[in-house]
Amino acid sequence: MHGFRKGGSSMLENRAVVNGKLVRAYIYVSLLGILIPLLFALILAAKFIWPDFLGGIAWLQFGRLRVFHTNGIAFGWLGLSFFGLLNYVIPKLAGRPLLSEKLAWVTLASLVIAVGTGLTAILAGQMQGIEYAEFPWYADILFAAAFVMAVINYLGTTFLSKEKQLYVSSWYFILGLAFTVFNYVMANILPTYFAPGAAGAAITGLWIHNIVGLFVTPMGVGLVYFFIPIILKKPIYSHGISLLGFWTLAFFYPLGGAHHYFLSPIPRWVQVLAVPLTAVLFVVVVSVVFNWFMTLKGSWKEIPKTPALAFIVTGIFGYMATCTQGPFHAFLTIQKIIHFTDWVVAHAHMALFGAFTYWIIGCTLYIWPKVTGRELVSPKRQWVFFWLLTLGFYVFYFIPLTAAGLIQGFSWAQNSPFAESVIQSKAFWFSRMIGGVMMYVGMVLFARELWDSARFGKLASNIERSSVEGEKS
Amino acid sequence: MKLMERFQTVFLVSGIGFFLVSFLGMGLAPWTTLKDVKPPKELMTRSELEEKGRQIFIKEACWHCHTQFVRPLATEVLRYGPVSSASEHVTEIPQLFGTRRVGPDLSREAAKRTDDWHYAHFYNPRNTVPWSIMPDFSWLFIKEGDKITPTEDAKALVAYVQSLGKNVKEEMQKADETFAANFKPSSPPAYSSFLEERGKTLFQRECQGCHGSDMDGKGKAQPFLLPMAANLAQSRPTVEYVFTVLNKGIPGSSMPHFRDYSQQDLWAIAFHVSNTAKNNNVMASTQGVSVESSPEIVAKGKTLFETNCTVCHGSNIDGDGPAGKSLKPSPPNLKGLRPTAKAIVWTLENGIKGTAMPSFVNLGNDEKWAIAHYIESQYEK
Repeated sequence: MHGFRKGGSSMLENRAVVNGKLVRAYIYVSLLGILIPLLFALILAAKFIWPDFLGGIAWLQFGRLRVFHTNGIAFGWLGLSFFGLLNYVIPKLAGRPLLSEKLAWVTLASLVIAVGTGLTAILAGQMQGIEYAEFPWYADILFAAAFVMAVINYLGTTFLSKEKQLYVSSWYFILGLAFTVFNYVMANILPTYFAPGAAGAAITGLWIHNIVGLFVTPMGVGLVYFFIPIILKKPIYSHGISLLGFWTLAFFYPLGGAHHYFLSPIPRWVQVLAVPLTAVLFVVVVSVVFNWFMTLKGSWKEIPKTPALAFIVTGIFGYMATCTQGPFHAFLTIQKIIHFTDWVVAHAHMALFGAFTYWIIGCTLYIWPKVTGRELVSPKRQWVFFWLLTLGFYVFYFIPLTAAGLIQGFSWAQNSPFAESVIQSKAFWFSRMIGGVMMYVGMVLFARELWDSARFGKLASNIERSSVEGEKS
Repeated sequence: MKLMERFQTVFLVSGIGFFLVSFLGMGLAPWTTLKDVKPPKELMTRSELEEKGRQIFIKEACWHCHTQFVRPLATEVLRYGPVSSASEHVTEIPQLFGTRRVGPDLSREAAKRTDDWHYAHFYNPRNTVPWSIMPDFSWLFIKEGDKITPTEDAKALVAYVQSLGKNVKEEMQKADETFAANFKPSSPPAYSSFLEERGKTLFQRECQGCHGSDMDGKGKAQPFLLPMAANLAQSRPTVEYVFTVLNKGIPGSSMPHFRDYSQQDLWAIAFHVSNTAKNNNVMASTQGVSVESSPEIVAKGKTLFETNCTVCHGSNIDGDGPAGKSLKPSPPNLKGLRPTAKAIVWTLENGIKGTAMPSFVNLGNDEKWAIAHYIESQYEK
C-alpha cells in the first residue's frame, strides 16, 4: 500500500535507481536559470528608481528585461529545477530507474536550447503578446518538444512502476505534467494567433492561471509531500486529507482563470463564475497545509538542525500566505483596489519565490549529498543565505511592495493624479531594490554551497551514496 | 478510494479531463458567445502604419506596464474615458488587455495629446513628464547634431497610440470642448507661502519638461514641440489665466489639461507661475530700436491692431475674434497672458511657428511697437 505508512517500500529503499549525474546537471543549469534572470531583475528594480539607468539601449529596455525575467524564472529556473528534482523523486517513487536516462539527457539539451533561444529572442524584441508565453513560435516548438520528452520520461517511469497504488506526490506530478502540455499548446496557439479580444483574454487568463496553478503548484506540492516524510522519517498525517486537497485543486483550480481579468470586457457570466470558483481554492490550501503541519507536529525541533527543512517549512508558510490571499483577491471589492498594482507583484513573488523557490532550495539541499556522494560543506553558509533570502524577501520586498500596492490602489480609487501613485511608491521601490540585492547575494551563496559541496565536500556515508549511481563528481 | 489513486484515473480525469472542462467551459464557451459581436466602424480596420506600431508595442512589451481596458469604476471613467466593451476588442489578436498599470491605461489615448508630445515623450519620457519612470525609446530616432528625427518605427508607434480608442475620440473631444466653453475659474484661495511652495513642487513635477526650469519655453522637450511651449518668462500671466489654461489645456498645441489635479493644486501652480514669471523677465531680443510709449503711439497702435489683428485676437484682445475661435491652437487671451511689449514686437517680427500667427514683415518697426504698446495699455493694472 502506501510506502510511507508501512515505511519500508521502495521509496525508502536504497536501491540504485537515481542517476546522480543527471540530477546534478539539471540543477546546475537551473542555477543559471535563476542567477541570470535575477540579475536582470536587479536592473529592473534600479530602473524603477533611476529610469535612465542603462537607458537608450534597446535590448536593456525595461519591457524586454521584464519579460526576460518572468520567462527566465518560469522556464529556466522553476522548470529546470523541478525536472532536476523529479529526476531524483520519480525513480524513487517508482522504485525503478527513469524510463530512459538517455532521453533525460536529450531533454536537458533541448530545454537549454529552447529556453536559450526564447530568452535571446526576447532580448532581441521578438516576442508574442501573451504573458508568460512571450517566447516566439520557433522557441515555443523547441520548448514544447523538450517538455513532451520530459513528460514521456516521467509519466512512463511512473506508469511502469510496480507500485499498485500511487503515493500522493505522484498524483500531483501526473496532473501537472499532463495538464501543462495541453495548457502550453493552447496558450501559444489560440490567444496568440486566433482568439480575438475578450475571448483571447479569457483563454489567456486560463493559461496564466494554470501555468502557476497546474504546473508550478503540483510540482512543488508533490515535492513537499515527498520530502517532509522522508526528512522526518515518519508517514504523512492523513491520506484522506491529501485526497481532498488533490482533487479540489485538480477540479477547481483550472476554472478560475478569468480572475486575472476581472471587470474587463470578458463576458460577465465568466467573471461571475470565476469568483466562487477562485474562493473555493481556500479549501485546497487549508487541507494541504493542515496535513503538512500535522505531520510536522512534534518535529518542529528538527528545523533548527536542518537548513533544508527550514527552507521547506518557511516555504509552507509562504505558500499558506499566498494561497490565502488568492481566494480573497477574487472578491470584487478587493479586486478593484489591488488589481494592476504592486500588491499583485508581491503576491506573485510570495508564490514563486517565498513558496516554490524555498521548496526547491530545501529539497535540493537535502538531496545534494545523495546525488554527489559528498556532504554539504558549510551549514553556517546555509543559514547565512537562509536569512539573507528570508529577511531580504519578507522585510524589504514583500511587505513594502504590498504596502505600495495599497497606496497605488487607493490613490487611483480616490482619483488622485497618476503622478501621485508613482511618486509615493518610490521609497517602497527603493526598499524592493535593497531586498533584491539581498536575495541575489543569497542565491549566489546557495549556488556556491552546491558547487563547493560537490567538489570539496567530505565523502558521504555509504548508506547515502549507495542509493545513487554515478555519484563521482 | 483506490480507484482515485491509480495512474490511469489521475492521468485521464485530472490531467486531460479537467483540462477539457476548463478549456471548454471557461475558454471556448466565452469565445462562442462573442462570435457575433461586431466592432464599431472606426475600429474595423487598422492602417498599415498603425498595425506596424502595434507590432512595436508588442515587441517592446509596452503592454506589461500599460493596460488597455477601462473598468466600470467611476474613477476610471473620470480618469480615462468610457468603459471598455467587448466589441471594441474584436479585431485584436492577440488582445493587449494587460495585467499591471505601472503607467496609465492607454485605451482612450487617441487625440489626447499631439504627435509632437508623443515624439518628445518616446525620445525620453522625462522630456514631457518629469516624474515619469517610463523607459526611453531613443533608438527609434535619428540624431544629427541638434536635429532629432523620428524613424518610421517611431511614426508607426505614435500612429498606433493615436488610434487607441478612436471610436470614442469625438465624444471625448466634445466633452472637453463643453467643459472649456462652460469653464469659469473658481475663486482663488488666499495666497500663502505654502501654496507657493506646493506650486513650485508641482511645476517641477509636471511643467518644466516643456516650459523649462526658467519658464522660458526651452525645456528638454523644446526640439520636438511645434508650437513650442509658451515662453512665460517674457510674459506676466495673471493667476486666473494660468489657472484657466491648466484646466482647459490648449487644444491644438501640446499643452494638456491638468484637471486630474485638485483645484487647490492648480491654483498653487498658477500662483507660482504668475509670481515667478513676473520676477523672471528674460527679454527676447528684438532687432529694431525700441520706441517709448506715448498716447499718440497707443492711438496709432489701436488703429493698426484693428486692421491687422482683431480678426483673430478679437477687439477685446481676448482671442475671441471671428476667425480666432475656430483656430487650433486658438490665439491666447493676451490680457491674461500679458506678454511684454518687447515680446510682442518679437512675435510680430517672427510669428509663432506651428500656429496661425504669421510674421508681419510689411509692418515697420514703429508700427510694431505701436501695436505692442496698445496691447500693453489694455492690461488691467
